Amino acid sequence: MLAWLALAAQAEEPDAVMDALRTELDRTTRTLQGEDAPYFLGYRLTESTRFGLEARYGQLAEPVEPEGRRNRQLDVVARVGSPHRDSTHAVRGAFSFDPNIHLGKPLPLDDDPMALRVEIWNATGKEVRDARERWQRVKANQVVMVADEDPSADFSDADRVVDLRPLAARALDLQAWVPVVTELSGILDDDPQVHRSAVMLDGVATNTWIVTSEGTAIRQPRTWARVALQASTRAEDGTMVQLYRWKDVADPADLPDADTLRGWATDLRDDLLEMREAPSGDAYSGPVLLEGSAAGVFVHEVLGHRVEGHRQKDEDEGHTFRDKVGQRILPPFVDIVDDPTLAEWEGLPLNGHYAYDEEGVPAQRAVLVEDGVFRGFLMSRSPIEGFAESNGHGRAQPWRQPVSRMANTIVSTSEPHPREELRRMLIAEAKRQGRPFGLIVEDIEGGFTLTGRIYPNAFNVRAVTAWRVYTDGRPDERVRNIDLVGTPLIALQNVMALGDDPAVFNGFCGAESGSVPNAAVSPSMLLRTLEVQKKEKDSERPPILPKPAEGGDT
Amino acid sequence: MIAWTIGLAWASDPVLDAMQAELGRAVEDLSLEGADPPYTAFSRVMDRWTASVECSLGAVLSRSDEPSRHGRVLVRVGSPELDQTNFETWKDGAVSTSLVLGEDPVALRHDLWLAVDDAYKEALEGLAEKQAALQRRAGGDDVPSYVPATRQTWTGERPEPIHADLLEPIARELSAIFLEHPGVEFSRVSASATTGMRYVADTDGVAIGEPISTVIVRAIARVRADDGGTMADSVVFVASDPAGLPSAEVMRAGVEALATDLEAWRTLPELPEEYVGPVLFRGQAAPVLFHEVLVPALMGTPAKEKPPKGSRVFTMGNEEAPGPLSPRRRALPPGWTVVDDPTADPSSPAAYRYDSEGEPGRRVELVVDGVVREHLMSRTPSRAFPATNGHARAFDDGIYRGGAADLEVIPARPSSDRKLHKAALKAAASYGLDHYAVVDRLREPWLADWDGGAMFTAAAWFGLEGPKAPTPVTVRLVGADGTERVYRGASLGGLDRRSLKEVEAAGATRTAIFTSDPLQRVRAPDTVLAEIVVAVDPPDAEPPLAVPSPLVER
Repeated sequence: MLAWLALAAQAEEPDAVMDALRTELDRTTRTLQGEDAPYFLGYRLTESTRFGLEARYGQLAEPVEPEGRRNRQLDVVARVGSPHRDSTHAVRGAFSFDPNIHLGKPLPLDDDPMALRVEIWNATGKEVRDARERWQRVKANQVVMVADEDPSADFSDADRVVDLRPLAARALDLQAWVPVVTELSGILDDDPQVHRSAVMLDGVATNTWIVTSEGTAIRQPRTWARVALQASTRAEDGTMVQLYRWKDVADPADLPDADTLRGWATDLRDDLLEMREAPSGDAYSGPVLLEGSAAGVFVHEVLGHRVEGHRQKDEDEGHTFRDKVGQRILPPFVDIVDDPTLAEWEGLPLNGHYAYDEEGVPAQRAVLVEDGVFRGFLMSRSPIEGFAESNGHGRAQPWRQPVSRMANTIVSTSEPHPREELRRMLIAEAKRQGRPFGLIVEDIEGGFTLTGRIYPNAFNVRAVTAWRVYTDGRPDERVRNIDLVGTPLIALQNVMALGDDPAVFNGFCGAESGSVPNAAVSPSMLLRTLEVQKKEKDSERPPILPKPAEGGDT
Repeated sequence: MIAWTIGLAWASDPVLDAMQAELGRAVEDLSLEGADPPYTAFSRVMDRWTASVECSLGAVLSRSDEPSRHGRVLVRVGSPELDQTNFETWKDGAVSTSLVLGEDPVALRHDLWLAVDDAYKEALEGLAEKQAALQRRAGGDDVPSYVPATRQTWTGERPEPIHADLLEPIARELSAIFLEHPGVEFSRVSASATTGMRYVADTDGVAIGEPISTVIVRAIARVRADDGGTMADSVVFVASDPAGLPSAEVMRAGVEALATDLEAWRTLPELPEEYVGPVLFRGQAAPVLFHEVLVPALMGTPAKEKPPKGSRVFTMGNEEAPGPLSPRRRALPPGWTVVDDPTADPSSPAAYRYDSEGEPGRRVELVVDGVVREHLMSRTPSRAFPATNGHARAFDDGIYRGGAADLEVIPARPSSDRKLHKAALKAAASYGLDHYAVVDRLREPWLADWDGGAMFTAAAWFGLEGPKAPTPVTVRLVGADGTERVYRGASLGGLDRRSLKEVEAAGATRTAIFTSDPLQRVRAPDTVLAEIVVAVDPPDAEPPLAVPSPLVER
């Protein structure tokens, strides 16, 4: 039904973009010499072609752009100083809005060598001037402040890589999807109590060129598509209730077919109406069973962000796991890795797959937890004490500089339990704790975590669908408006058992280096105790007048 | 060209139908217990096709070509004597929304239904805030909040969309001119077109569909002198459609002149000392002068009311801009006239038949014999002017404010260039000078951001930067024998509304400029002002890198 059209250019074909990048890099490094010349210069050019459809209430809300919307963004990295201490080093005590934002540069879409080179030259000048200025500040800061807690170098060595892969195709036939998304949006809207709804189809074909003064030259393609349905209503107590269902794929041909999506739309609408009537949850502490995707996001928020390497040398960070290498942090039946080399998990595509990270380092499997013992961190080319090299996790969106980030975080177990057994264990644990019910969290919308020192080092996993499972045999009861909260070390100590049902959560994660695609894979996870807090509540009344409808308002 | 189908009776239009249906429901049925219903409701929908192409050095940087439909809803509660509008509050009863494409009446009403609902609830709270705050103030302003509309119905003919395919060759060709100018560090040429309909409807009987069509071609360039000083400048061509643009030769010449002038600027000396005396504003500088200094003094919509000191209503506490010049105050020397007539030249892209509130556009004699006679007014009256005169333009803080459309400054006795020269020299003599200053181009204030300086100031971040004064690109000091010295690095002082009363002479020809948001045309003659300070103001300097532009090697 939907496929990336036309195939890719061949690697050996002339590549004006690569030529322009190399020419300017060579010219700059050859010309700029001396103490304040960059010792490292790198270019990352990201070309994205975005396709999108949106329908609401049975009508298109966004136009079909047959050729998509293409842009090219150049990011320049200029490092002045030396690998041990350079212009990227943290300036402690400095006030800045966001040091990771720099001014990316739009580049011509035509493969016009001179136009490309002039834009690259301009961007290089800006970054080199900025790096020189920052290097002066770093040197002063090093003199004025006490010694760094972690004296590690600022930039690690990396092998030179030359790998020019075929370009991703830049065409996607959306027209066939127009009747599908409009029909689905009509299904979602088909109830007076569904106030807002939309169906979106998005696709992005990305080609990234990476060229560095170390001789690395990489060209790598990536394709991604998502079909998503969303609907919302306002409950009588003022709470906005919204549901979102989506599927991310690398190949649009793997998107669900129309029949499947019709079923999704009907289910989503019915679920929304049921959720609208469900009681709002209360504060709770007790056993919680996180089903597949919820468990993956839980690990992402509780552990994942805290084992990103760059945080271990940031003196404003909590360093929850910095001194835990070799120590048990989870039961011995739990293993966690982060593996961007995997394109799929049991046939399901993984969002966090790539061949090279944004620093041009080959993707590698990073072992985080082995038999419950913490083994190491996600590393970019920013070394930390005990971890001198990158493991291919330096990631960033365009206009941001890479830091260590998760890719495909995968939880597995040597002692899998069937779902029914986990449910029985949940009820037994609730009884043991004297609780009238345990909680099953079936679906989540995402989460966030605070990893610094000023605020509580806590996480929040945003539940969407949760069920009270009563110990006295009453039917399960749906509850809404709850979040799962806690602090990381205690939460991990409470892991009791894992299921035999690994599920994939594909999404995008936002942090210092922007929004990057990633995936969390985990079987269901039973926790002895987890705290639940009420989600924030709106106070708006539902719409006063009935929804407009054909032949009279409903 | 916009086709105005004069006298065409209002015919059914799906967008207008949807707007009227939802606004009608608002005043007929919308109410909450214990609260006033709306007394009137208004909506504007911009139904546009926007195409845009941006090029650099003959290559395309970005391109878009798509329809969109965006609406604003304003629900008023209270009464025309006192409603919630034009008061400093977050809840002003104005809500924006996007609308679906297509013509399905129920889908079109859906987003308007939600926007009207939000706007009504906001308006109720906004009115309560305003009333409560005003109660704390001794004595009150009894100027009504609103002048109800009179019935107006008309729908013009929708213009054909202008597509990017038509614009791309223009932008490509003009941007390629910079390939021959290696002294220009940075350049962009964009060509954009907006066509479609501006729909306005309210519950007082307004139902207007006004065709809109604008084409804008803009070239921007920046140079860097050897001492590091930078200067950005632009040239703009505006028309109702591509056929109305200047010929390709004229546009090429304009861009060529921009590049040549900027390259020459690099080697100009900096102004050695402050100059105080007469300044001749020539060409583009004259209408920019009047737009920046005179037009704000003729905009009659009262500023937002602020809560009195001690009120608990939170405000940003911004400085208040000076209000308009009162009627019968002198704005210009005797004999000068200022008129604004959006209907006089239907071929002008700044022309309209109905303003943004659906009131017929009218000719307004703002200044007669140098004295203020009228203000530019919307439906928000002032003490001096209790009615609209069809100049509701910019949407701001929930209401439309009076603004210029097609403004012309007509001097008392136009002089030849020779006489201007003599008048300026005579005025200079009273300052003990044997020369006078000439400003040919006043740079648009926003172009300062293109100079490559600091982008992230705290004031800019919080939106607290005051209006920037336009700066001259160069200043010429002209002697009695016509010899001249040209300088860079100057700014203007003493440029305020009082300075306009001290005109020494004005020329015979009038130069036009266009400004955007909203689109306005201002025409004004070359003008000699008696006393202006030309201050030494060298540009920020950041020396160029040792790496020359690739264009130099070309």
